[in-house]
Amino acid sequence: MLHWTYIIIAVLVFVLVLRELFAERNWRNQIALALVLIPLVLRILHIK
Amino acid sequence: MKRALILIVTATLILLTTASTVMLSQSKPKYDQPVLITSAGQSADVTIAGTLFKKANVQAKALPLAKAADLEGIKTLVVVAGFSSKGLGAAGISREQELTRVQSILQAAKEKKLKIMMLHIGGKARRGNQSDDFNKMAAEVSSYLLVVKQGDEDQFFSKIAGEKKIAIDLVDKIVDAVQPVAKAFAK
Amino acid sequence: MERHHIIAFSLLAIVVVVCTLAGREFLRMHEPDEIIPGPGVTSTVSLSTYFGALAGTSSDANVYVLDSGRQGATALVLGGTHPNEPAGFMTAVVLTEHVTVQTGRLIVIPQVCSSGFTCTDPLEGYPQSFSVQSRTKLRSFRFGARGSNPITEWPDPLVFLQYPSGQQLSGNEVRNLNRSYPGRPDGTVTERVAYAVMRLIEREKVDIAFDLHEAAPEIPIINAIVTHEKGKDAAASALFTLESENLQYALEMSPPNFHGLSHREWGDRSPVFPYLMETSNPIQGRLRGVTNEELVVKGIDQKYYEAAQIGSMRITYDLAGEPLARRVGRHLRGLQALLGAYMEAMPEKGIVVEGIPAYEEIVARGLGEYLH
Repeated sequence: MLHWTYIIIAVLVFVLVLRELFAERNWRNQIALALVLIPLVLRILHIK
Repeated sequence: MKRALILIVTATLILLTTASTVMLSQSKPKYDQPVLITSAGQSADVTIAGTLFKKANVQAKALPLAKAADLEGIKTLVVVAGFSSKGLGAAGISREQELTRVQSILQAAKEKKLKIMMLHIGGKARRGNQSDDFNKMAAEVSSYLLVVKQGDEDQFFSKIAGEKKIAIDLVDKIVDAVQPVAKAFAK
Repeated sequence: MERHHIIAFSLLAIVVVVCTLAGREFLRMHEPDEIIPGPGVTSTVSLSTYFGALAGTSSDANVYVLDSGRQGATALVLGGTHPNEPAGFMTAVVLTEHVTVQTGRLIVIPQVCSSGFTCTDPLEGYPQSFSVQSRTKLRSFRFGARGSNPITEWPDPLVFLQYPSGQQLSGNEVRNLNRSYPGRPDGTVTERVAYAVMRLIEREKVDIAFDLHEAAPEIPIINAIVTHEKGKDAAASALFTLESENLQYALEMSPPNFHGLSHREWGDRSPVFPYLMETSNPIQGRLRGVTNEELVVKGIDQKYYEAAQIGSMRITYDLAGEPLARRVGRHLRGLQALLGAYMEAMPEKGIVVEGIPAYEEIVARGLGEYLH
């Protein structure tokens, strides 16, 4: 139960970061946001 | 005739002095049974010491947590020095409690005028800050130190033996300690 | 489309590529290692045979049974309790691939924490695998993490409450099999594996069991045998045998109040005589230099050599290093000595295992000589 709660939280964070990626105008910040997406994707997909 | 007599007496004196010097430098105390083996630092080496004494055909009782009262009827106290945190955990006591216990049993043994032998058979693993308090405490009151060489690479025990004029044997391996133990208790 | 949107899409494409490439690498660790049962193996079962809930999960493991068909003792050997300790599971692999049993039974689980072999520990820079040249080919084996894959048990609690002792440990110990015994059927993934092992010990009436490990050179408990109090006399006797062959081992007692460990819980909860053995493994150490496959196999590290020279740590280390073959040799010889000592103490419980390579042999000829 807690595991899936955390996965849902990870999905929510993913969506928020994705939104920020498209809203952010500074390309350096966009790179940082893109980097943050990588471990979130891997965790949501149960790869790493 | 007079000259010959002086020569003979002088030669005899020289011979006796040399012989006694040789005897003194080689002489190790002789120990009597019953024997109590205890730990100073709660390493499992006390179990190995029990096996060592068995192989040397010397009957001994191993009590890692022996107290002064356990010295009743004992003629020789063997202290196996070396600290183990797992051993302390197994014994359920703190380091300070172990230090107090060891101090008290060594004191009691001295008061009862028992002979004390120290074994250090754990090598490098039973040296270092944690162990050396126990090692020093046990070594300084013993009349004989039996040490596996690896534990004396820095001459820690050799120096104590030299300063306090304690007999010491350094052996390569634990198995090499069987003979000295057997000899120490030989009638 | 605005400039920052174009950049966002481009970055997203890069994220997809990176995730695909990285994901492929990570998923490769889910491919099982090839372990080739030798002539001594009479049957292979799954750990889920002893607890069905493990079936079909990444926590199920192969159990190799070497049954002589003759009455005698049953010995259990566990490798891979910590998948980042390769000498443990490679010793079990050698037993599986090379030895035969003439009396009694030998049960071997080379990779008992199989979930831990599907990942590496973060921030350690460990290689994902290492290779050993066998008699016929280059064999590759995974180098895993200390505990079960966090994906299977995410999140770790802040504090791990050990069952049933209630002992409090660091939260990440929830994935450590060697803190999870006796386990429980409705517990965490790792506790279920521990439960399955306990059921195996019970059902197979195991008499003597070995849990093979490694530790960093600076850890006080290396080149050691840890014993439950019931096995201490046999352990002391084994130590004498090993010492006479110039193999030094320290003897450590299992603390009765430290729960969850194999040498404690197996011994308390069953008639089995449990032993845990440790060798020295530089890649686990904090002082190590380059962390790569070579360090796993050759065990040569300049930093440890310098530390030993300076005398700043109480370690024995030279330029010959701590090669995997030597560490496996120590485990094999230690195991043999303990079996011998056990049989001396329990003459009615014989177990005769043939083909265990001698320590000098495996050091001289290499580990690969004893693998298919």
